Amino acid sequence: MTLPTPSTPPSPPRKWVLFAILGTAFLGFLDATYLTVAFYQRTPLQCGLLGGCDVVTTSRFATVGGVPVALLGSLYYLTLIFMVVAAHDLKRSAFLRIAARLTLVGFVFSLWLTGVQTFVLRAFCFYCLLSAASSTLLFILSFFLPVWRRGRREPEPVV
Amino acid sequence: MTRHERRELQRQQRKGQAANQGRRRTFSRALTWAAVVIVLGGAVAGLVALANKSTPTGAVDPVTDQDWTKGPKDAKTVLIEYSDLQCPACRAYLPTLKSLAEKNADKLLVVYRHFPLKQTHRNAELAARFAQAAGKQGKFWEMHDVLFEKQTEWSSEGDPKKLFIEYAASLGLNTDQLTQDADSATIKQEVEGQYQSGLRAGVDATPTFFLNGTRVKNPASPDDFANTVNAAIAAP
Repeated sequence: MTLPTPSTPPSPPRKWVLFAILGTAFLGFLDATYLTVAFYQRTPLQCGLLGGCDVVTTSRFATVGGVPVALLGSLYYLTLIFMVVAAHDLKRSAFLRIAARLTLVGFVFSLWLTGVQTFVLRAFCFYCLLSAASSTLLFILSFFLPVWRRGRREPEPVV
Repeated sequence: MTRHERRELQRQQRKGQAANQGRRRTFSRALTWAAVVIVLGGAVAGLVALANKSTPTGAVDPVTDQDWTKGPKDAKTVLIEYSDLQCPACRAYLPTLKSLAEKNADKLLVVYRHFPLKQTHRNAELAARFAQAAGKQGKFWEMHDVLFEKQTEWSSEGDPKKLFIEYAASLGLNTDQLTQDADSATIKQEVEGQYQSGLRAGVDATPTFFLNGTRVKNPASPDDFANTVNAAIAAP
């Protein structure tokens, strides 16, 4: 994959990228939080589109050491939102760099979960796919942040 | 005003401006974070409320013609059981339920609903479908009894279908029809429908009993449970 060519000196991230990340992360947050709440309240999911929600959300893959994956997702999106707002507030690109790396983690985790649904459970849940889509979009959006392309040895730009 | 005084005044003004700006900046920062917290908090509260709306009301669905029942339809005492054919605790209640139904054949309506715990009991759902399909041939309770009685035999079986067909044959059922029905979308939906009704009623373990619409709170033993049911039947 070719990354956008670096502009020197690193320009601050474009506004639309930040808003797109915020919006997508918020959507993901709503989605994952709904699943988390449903998990703890044992609510049957409103699952019209594809069915199979219960198969997925009650499977042994739905928790990691007793912690529901949905909760991890919620926290992931929440962290992203805070990172973007913090980067804006404190004018520190370090937060964006953390956010960008997080999107990679989120993307890989989503790939794994979608793989599990496809090949192991053979059942899909709409909310899980929505989250996979938002994680993927976030990962793509992260390439528009001016943080991937800086080598480690280059000095921190003075903002 | 001397030159010195003028300069002093300007310096004061600049200081004031800077302080003002600083204050404004602090204010806008606080506003940003407050907005973030309010939006996120509001979203969580909204989702919790949304989930609460569809949260188990605890009310159990009334008995319909679709239900498997034993006893008179107009009985004063109604006992609804949400059960899983692969669950050992459910099996332990079988003799108690049978004797309750027999002894109170004219006073008690017993209802069986499927609540297969698919996550822990991998054959439970298939068993439920076979029992349901046997019901199509008029032998639900017979199949239900056999499946519970032979539970240990088929529970850990990788492919329990063969055993199910064997049991069905011993009951004189049409096994080809049975196998076909058990795989049909209708039967799958019926089992899923009962499972969903259990979720709505707040069922989270098996067996869960509802006596006249009220959930029986964790009976200590089948005998203890029988006492509760008998008391309800005896009540005026």
